[in-house]
This record gives sequence, C-alpha cells and structure tokens, in this order.
Amino acid sequence: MRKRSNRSAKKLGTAAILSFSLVAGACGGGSSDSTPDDTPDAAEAPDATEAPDAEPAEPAEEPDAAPANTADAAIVIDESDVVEEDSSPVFGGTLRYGLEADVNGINPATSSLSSPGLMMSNAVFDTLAAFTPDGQWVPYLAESFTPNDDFSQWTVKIREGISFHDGTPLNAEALQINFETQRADPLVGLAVKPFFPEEGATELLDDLTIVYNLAESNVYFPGTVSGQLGMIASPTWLAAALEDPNLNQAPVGTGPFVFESRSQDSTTKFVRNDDWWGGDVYLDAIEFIPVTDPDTRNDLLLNGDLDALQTTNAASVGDLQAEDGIQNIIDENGEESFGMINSAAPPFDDIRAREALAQATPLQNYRDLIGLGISRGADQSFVPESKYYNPDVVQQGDNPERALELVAEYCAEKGSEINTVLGETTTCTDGKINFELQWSGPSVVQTRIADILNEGWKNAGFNVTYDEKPQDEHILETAIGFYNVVTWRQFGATDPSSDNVWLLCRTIGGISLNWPRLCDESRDALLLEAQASQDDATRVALYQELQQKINDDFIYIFFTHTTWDNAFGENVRGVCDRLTPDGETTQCATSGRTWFNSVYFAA
Amino acid sequence: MRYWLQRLGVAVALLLAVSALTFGAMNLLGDPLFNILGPTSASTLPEDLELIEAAKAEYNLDDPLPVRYVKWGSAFVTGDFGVQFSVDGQPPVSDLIKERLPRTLMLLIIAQTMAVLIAVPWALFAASRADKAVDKVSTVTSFLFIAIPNFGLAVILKYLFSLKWSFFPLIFNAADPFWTRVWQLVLPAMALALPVGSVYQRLLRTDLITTLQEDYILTARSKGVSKRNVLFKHALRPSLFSFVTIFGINTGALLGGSLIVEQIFIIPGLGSAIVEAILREDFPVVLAIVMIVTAAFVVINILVDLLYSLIDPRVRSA
Repeated sequence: MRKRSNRSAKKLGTAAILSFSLVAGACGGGSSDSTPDDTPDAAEAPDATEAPDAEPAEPAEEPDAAPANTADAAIVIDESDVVEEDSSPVFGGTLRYGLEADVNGINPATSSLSSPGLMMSNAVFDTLAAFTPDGQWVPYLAESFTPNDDFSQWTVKIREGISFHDGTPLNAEALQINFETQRADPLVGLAVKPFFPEEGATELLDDLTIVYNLAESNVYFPGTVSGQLGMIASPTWLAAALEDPNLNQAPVGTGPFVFESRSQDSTTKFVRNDDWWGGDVYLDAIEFIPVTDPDTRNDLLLNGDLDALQTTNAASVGDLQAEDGIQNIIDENGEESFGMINSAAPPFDDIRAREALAQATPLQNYRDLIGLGISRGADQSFVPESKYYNPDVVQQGDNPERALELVAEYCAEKGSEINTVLGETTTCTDGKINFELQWSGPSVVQTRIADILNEGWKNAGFNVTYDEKPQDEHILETAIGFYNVVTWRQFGATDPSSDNVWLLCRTIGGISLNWPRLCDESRDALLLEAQASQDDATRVALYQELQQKINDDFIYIFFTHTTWDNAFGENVRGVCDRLTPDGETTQCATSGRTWFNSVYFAA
Repeated sequence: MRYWLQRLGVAVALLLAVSALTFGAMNLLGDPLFNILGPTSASTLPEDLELIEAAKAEYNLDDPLPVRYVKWGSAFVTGDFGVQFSVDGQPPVSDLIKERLPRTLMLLIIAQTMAVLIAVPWALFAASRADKAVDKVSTVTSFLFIAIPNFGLAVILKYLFSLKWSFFPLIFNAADPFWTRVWQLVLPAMALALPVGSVYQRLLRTDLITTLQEDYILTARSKGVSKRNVLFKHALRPSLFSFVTIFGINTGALLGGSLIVEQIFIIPGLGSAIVEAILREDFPVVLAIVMIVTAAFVVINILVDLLYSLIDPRVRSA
C-alpha cells in the first residue's frame, strides 16, 4: 500500500481546476470529521430537463391543478419522538442549531449549498414549492403551477403582496432574475443549463406570472423548485452581490427570519421577520453554529448549549435515540453512501475489474463497523420502503473467490495497460489490479472506512494506493475523472427524477456531474421516460429497471443508506407543524434540514 | 543605542526571512487563479479570457515570484494585507484578521494573565518551603501539568468542567455579548495557562531559592526583616530574569498551542483561520497570519529586553 502525494494533481493544470466549483455547486460543503458519510454530499441536484421546442406558454384550463403529483408513499421519516402540544405557541427565545459544517456563502443563485447551507437558507428564503410529508409537491411561494399539455412548459403564478426583507417587491421579474443568475453562475449553472433551451427559457406573462420553457417534458418540475433552485432571493441583493461577493454572506429573501449577523465558522444569526407574509413567527432569533465534531455536537445539545442539531454520524444517532427528552426526527430517505468507480479509465473501464472490486468489497464489515446497526445496508438508491425499490437488485460483495477469478481474467488480458491515475504504473502487478482509493479528509472515519475496504480488497486481488485529499481537491479530481475509486454520498432526492443529473449522458464532459462517466443511452431513455410519465405504475417499473441497470454496470458499490437525525431539545415545539399558505402540512425534515417558522419553545 | 539598533536589525531580518520563506512556499503549492475565479480560470471562452487576464493583472500573477514578493511586501508594510483568494468573493484579508485576531489575542491575554497569577504565588510558596513535603507535592503537580500537552489538558478540562460539571460553557458563540464571550474563553485559556504557568513556577522557584541563599538576603533576615518582606521586596525582583525570558518565548509558543486549543473549544480565531486557509491554499491569509504571529513574537521579545532593564538597572547601563 502506498500513499500518494496530494500535490500530484497540480500537474493537471487548468483543466483540472475547472471542475472544482462545478462540483462544489452540486455537492455542497464538507461535513463532520467523524460521520461515516463525510464524503462529499452530492444530494442537492437541481433538476430540469432537455430538448428544445420552446413554444409560447399555454396554461392548462384549471390553473390550480397539481397534475401528475405522484408521491412516494413510503417516505421514511420517523417523527415519533416529536412532542405534540395542544397549547398555543409561545413567542420568544433564540434557537441555537448545531450544524455539521459551515458554508462559504448563503446565496441560492451562486453558492454551493450543502445541508447546513440549505438549513440556514430555510430561515431566510422561501421556496416556490414545498413537499408534503408523503412526498407530494405543493405550491408555497407560488400560488399555482400550471403545465402545458406535454409538461414542457410550466406557468408559475406567485402570491401577491409579498416583499423581500429589503423592501423589493416579489414579482415574476424577480423570479426571472433569480433563474438567470443561477443559470449564469459557473457553479449552480452547470446543473441548470443542460435542462433549459439557451433562448427563451423564461417568459413573463404579467407582474405575477412567469413561464418556464423546459428543454423537454418534466412532470415533476415543481418539485425541482422546492430546494435551492426554488429559493427566491431579492433581485436587488443579487445584483449587489454580483458586484460585491462579500454580500453572499448576508442573504436577503422573503423568509420568516431576517439575516442579522454572520461570523464565519462561529455563528450566523437570523432574527424574526415580524412582517412575514406567511403569518406568525414565534422565535425571536435563530443562531446557527457549525460544530464539525459530531460527539461535541451531541454534548452541546445534551448540555443545553444547543437546542437542536443535525447529524449523520451513526454513533451519534444511536446516542441521541437513547436519550430521554431528545426529540429525534430520523430520515432514512436521503443519500446513499457508496464507493464510486471511474468507468472511463483503466483498469475500471473494463466491467470485469469493476465487478471484481464489488465482489471483493467487505460489505458486511462495513455495515457492522461503520453503520453500527443504525445506518441500514443499501443495495440501490431506494430504501426498501420506497415503491421504486427493486427487491431483485442485490449489491454484490463479500465474495473474494469470484473477485480473484475476475482479477486473474482481467490481468491476463489487460494487465499491461497504464493506470494514468497512478502515473506510469501498469494496471496489474503480480496478478493484482493496482488502483487508487481517494477520499475527502482528514477524517478519522473515512480513514477507517478505507482500512475496512482495503482489508477485503487486498485479499481479493487488489493493490490499493490511498489518497486522502482536502474536499475541494477531492471533488475536483472526481469531476474531471482523475480517479479510480472514491467514497461518495449522493442520491436520495424526494422525487427520483431530481437525481437524473448524476446519471444522464449529457452531464458527462470535461467536467462531469455523471461522475463515473458511464453513458448509457438506454438508461437515459428510462430516466427521461420516467420524468415525463404521470402514470405511477409506469414510473415504478422504469425506476426499478433503472436500479437493475445501475447494479449491472458495477459503477457504484452501495454501502449504506444515510440516516439523518435532526435532534431537538425537550422544550422545542412545532418542528413538524409547518403549513403552506393553503393549509397543507409540509415535510418535516429532508436530508438533515428542517424549517423554522412554526418552531417555538414550550412555556 | 547600538544594541537596540542591532536588535531592530535582527527583527527586520527575521521578518523578511519568514515572509520570504512563507511567500515562496505558498506560491509553489497553490494555484491562486483557480481560487479566485473557480472554473472560469480554465475557460477558453474569449469573455472568460478577459476575466482571466484581468485577474492576473490585478493580483500580479504574471509577475516573477520575486517581483510579486516585493509588491506584496510593500503593500503589507502599509497595512494592506491583500484580499482573500476565494471563489465566493475576495474580501480583504484585514476583515478576517479584524474578526479573528481579537479572539485569539483575548485568549492569549487571559492565558498569560492566568499563568502569571498561578506561577508567582505558587513559586513564592514553594521556594519558601523548599525541599519540604509541600514543595515536593508542588513539584510533582507542576511536572504533571508540564508533561500533559495542552491539547490533552484541554480535552480533560473540557470533559470535567464543561461536560460533566457544567461550570463553563462548551462553546464560543460570536453572537453573545462581550463579557459572555470572555467567560467562554476562560476554560480554553486555562488549558493553555496551566502548563505554561507550571513552567514559570519551576523557573521562578529555582531562581528564588538561589536568590534566597544570597548574602544580602541573609543580612536582611538577620536584621529582622520578615520572611514575607524578604520574599516580596528583596528576592522576587532579582529572580525574575529567567521568568521574563521564558514569558517572552512562551508567548510565541502559546500562539502555536492556541491553534489546537481553538479547535478543541471551537473558537473561530486565527487558529481555525490559518488551518482553513492552508487547506484552501488561500495564501494571502496564511501570509498575513504568519507575519502577525512572527511580528508579535519579535515585539514581545523586544519588550522582554526592555523589561530586563526595568528589573535590573545594571542591564540598562551595560
């Protein structure tokens, strides 16, 4: 086992450099050192669609209809710990929320918002749509979403009389400016551009109505504006932030809280928006405090120094669940942790090598020692409770004999090829495949994961070179395809079509969001058909077939489903009581994020 | 006068050497253009090429390294620390320093004050009872604190006083009022102060014991001067040389130690700033912090030299 210099990537020159922010835009920031899932988090994929034909918008006859909104009936979020109180909410108090990391900026149009960034954004921004607890999208800042006949155009009407915190009125033009700012941004735009026509992506119908012309049909478009891309920022502030990027630290939205102060790596504070369009806001203020060590985060909550936290650390989740008086919202619906294989470079451009690696993977050890019985083993990107789950798909692993056969076959045929990631090293030495395992560090848990994996791999025909990289470089090298195998975290969008961006052929390029660089036109066809389908049974069949295809390609070795815990102190109330303006209850938590306007402290 | 000119010359040479080494190292390791422009830095589109050229010109990136060093150094001495290299904007480095430095400074001031307040009475007490049982216990205690590295002590103190007994807060919160923040720094400061204070105590105790054996002390005692007065009025001041020397040297070491303690107690000071800046290859920040720490070290040691002459006028005339 060798350790490679971190500096070798520098030789790649500017081409390599290009990928960093792109991926950062999609993947978000780092997470805590000791979470099993402190791999780059690529779950926040803004989505849209392809294809041209931007016809003028033709709203359907029933403007308030919510067509084709088939929810995943088995969203696995356990809110049973949450205390429900009949008494009226109480005004006052400052909620201190521990985040797993800080972010570099809080601008939904230009910042790479990971889970902590999205959490802070939830305080200050409202989204056009929201999800209900069972995964249906519902209008939020928007009053209605109306598709044309083939769902390639969506007419969005926003609510009247809303202003941003700086007094700028919310209107359709503001939405257009937000969209164009996102699309023009080198980071966020990479996940937007491929899915809209270059010209005429939006049209203003009147002061409150805008049409989005998609590149191709997308029945689930409103769902894509329930996250970062649906957070509408003040156009005045966006313009100012483009001139002075320091303003990215001081967001201006329409949300229930107004930005007050930010000390990077310490505290970001928001105070109550007394004029919030959505009604009463109970807390005086929220302070977000990044605490990267999950044990310390737990201690702070248990000690009363924090009122809430987010974590994916299995041990922390276990500890918090064992504590009386802590309200845990457990979400297993989020990302999956996996090993990701670059299919575009030797040795793993050969499927035999990829399958050998999967077969050699000590899955059970990983799940026992890293998942700790808290994070469940994963075979695919859907949890077993999801209707899209394919029960026939099984993640191969723990089969060193089969791995050795495949390695021998590969090395006999292609052992003299060059593994460019390792420099001038051949793909095989002494009958073993040489490759590099890269991860984001320094991280105790990630190093432990590497050791566990290597324990299986080295005994099944592989020579593994470790390469621990700072997250920026790690993402950069993954994006440009300068890697063999990385540990990663991704998928888990509320609607699976939002994960298309990681899988489509069109997102392969110099910089790829299709990180494994595997283009499969038949897979694309499945993805696009599912995205355009309103029929639940059809979608289920398509996504199940997709899972089988992914499994057959051996580009991901699924380890575990990420378990997110949003834990609250015993005196916090109203966490799951958020309603839309139309009175619909919204999702309580998703991928480690919660909302705040309904939160209060018990008297 | 000549001595002070020499001291000044050495100080300037030291600052130049540190700055040149740091500047060279950071420029060899990092790629500032990518840190500034992000993906645009590798674009070949004509409009992006203009941006790239503009950024190179603005940040002197096309200049040879020595020229860039001179430009950076010339600006630095005028208080212009440059801008942070970040794709999220290029805020002035001075903004970051203004936010972070007071926290680290406050931590060090509290730590050194605590160390002195611990060391001096403890040394006087131990020296006055040299070789007795209580002195031996004191010796073991001080060696214990010296032997435990400050990060180890920080973890122990945090566990006991914050986590277990809740005497001190577990976290520093920049949004809290000033005195609350000072209170939040007390335990981290203690983690720095106890080992350092123990070193001070050992040195001062030894020097005090030596001084107490001087003839003039015996004379004072034989004239009936009380033991307390002998200690405070006659023995303490001449015994302070080693103490003052190590105080100056330790200030630099404490800065290093504070980087780790800041991480353990989650204090966003210069420590976390330099760690992040190194990882992100944001070298203007690294340079600024390194230079501040070096300058502080130099200034403190000059002050220590000045203190020598206050402690013993013979130094001034020498």
